[in-house]
Amino acid sequence: MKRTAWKCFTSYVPTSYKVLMIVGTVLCTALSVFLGSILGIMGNLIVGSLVMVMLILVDYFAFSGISVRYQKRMEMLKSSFNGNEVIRKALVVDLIAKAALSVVVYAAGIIGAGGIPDINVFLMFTSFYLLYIVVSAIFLIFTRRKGLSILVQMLFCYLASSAAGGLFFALVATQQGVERVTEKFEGGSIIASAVILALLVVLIAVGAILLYKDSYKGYLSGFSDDTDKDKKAAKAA
Amino acid sequence: MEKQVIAAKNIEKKYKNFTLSVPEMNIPSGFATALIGENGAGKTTLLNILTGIRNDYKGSIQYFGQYSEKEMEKTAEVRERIGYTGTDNYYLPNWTVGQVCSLSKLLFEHFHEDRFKKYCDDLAIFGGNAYDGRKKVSALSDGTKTKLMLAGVLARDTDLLVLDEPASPLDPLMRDKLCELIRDYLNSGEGKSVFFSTHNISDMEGVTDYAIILEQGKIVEQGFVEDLKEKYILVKGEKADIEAAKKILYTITTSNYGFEGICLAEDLDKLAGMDVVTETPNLFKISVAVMKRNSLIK
Repeated sequence: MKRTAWKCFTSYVPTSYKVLMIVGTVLCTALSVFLGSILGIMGNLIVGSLVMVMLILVDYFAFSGISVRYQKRMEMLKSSFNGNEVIRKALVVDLIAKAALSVVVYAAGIIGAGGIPDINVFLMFTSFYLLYIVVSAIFLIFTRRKGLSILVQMLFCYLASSAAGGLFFALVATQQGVERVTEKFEGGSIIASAVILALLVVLIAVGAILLYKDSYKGYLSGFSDDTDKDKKAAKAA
Repeated sequence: MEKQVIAAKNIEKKYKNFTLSVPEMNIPSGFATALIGENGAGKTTLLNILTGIRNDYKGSIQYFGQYSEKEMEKTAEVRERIGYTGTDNYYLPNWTVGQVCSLSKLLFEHFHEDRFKKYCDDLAIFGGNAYDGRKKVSALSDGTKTKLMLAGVLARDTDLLVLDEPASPLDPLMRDKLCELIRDYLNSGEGKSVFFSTHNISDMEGVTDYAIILEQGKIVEQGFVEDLKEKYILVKGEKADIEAAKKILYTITTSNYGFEGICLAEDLDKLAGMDVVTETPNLFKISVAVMKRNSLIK
């Protein structure tokens, strides 16, 4: 059978995960439209946090490509030559699905807010949204590596929004610095925001690659000793 | 010398308080080989190493007389020819039986869905009901999970089955069926082999051709069962001879009436003068004697 990425993903993740992801997307999208209609584009900042919480919860309880709770298991995959390929492809589709979900929810918020109010404001808020995703992804890598509980993961998700807020001010300062260079051109302010946004998109891509590599590394670690402690002990022995 | 399906040399895997060390191990082709040993002897670690589930070890392994362990990592050929069933860590609990089937099709080139469904039916995985792909693996009992694993490997075209404790969670009837399945598999083609670990020596004795006994991470005995039955003798004797017999017997169990023990056939002459009866021991008696001799259990 041809091992397409989609086939690998759908075979690997359980039905509960697929259902929860679809239901979660619909709910977050509806909420995004609703909040957008009340708070305008600001509503997206709240929805951004909710999307991350939803992704972590669904991932943890229904598990998926990025969950590590069972990385020591899956002997069925490990006993097959094609197991690594299947899990790699499933992880990639999983990340793409999550990215697509974030974009859909964000776009719904914009629609709810009655469209793009001001290009500069739009770029600023989009930058914050992306920054939040990047920070959350980094925090997620950390929490997964440490094998922390779901409550601690939630706490880190909350901290990520604070960290993203702090970083956003740094970003605004950077934007102003870039603006000084671009102000010579017509629409210099927009160019500066766009540059920042482009940088964040690159950061998102890097974050996604890191998340993918970390998840795959987690799976591969199941082929050897349980913990670093065991490895050290084995080395010492 | 007969062909070997797996030939391992200088296998070593160290843990903090345990080392698996196997200087040489050969699994004969065309036979059922049992890996016997007490808890923590290193059976699962050894099976995981041989099937490529664990790769942090030293040593070399040759598969089917032609592939090295490195080739196992690089080509699909070796893993395709080996069917492995594990214990708790085989499936993800959220998977359904249908997912197990569709994943098997992705993972293994020669997996036959119709055969899988037939084995699910034959082994009464759904309790006599029709095949239910939506049934969650986590909802199955340990015994039924083992049946599902067996259905999965038997639905593939393989040359070697490596089964980790297949009999333990099974009821007596299913253990008998397991022996039948193993026999059918061995008879289904030339060179088909089975290597399984077990604590249920008596139940599996009928299907065991070759035995490897592992203790404290080391192979302490191995050979064809028929040869082992010639190597060891079961001795029963009078109470009066207990002390003298203790010095000669491999292991001894005493009671108010006398003693029973296993003795190396070559030491039988040393029992001359004692009032003893000898019998051919079964694999269970031999295994327990060998394990007792090498165990840390006092």
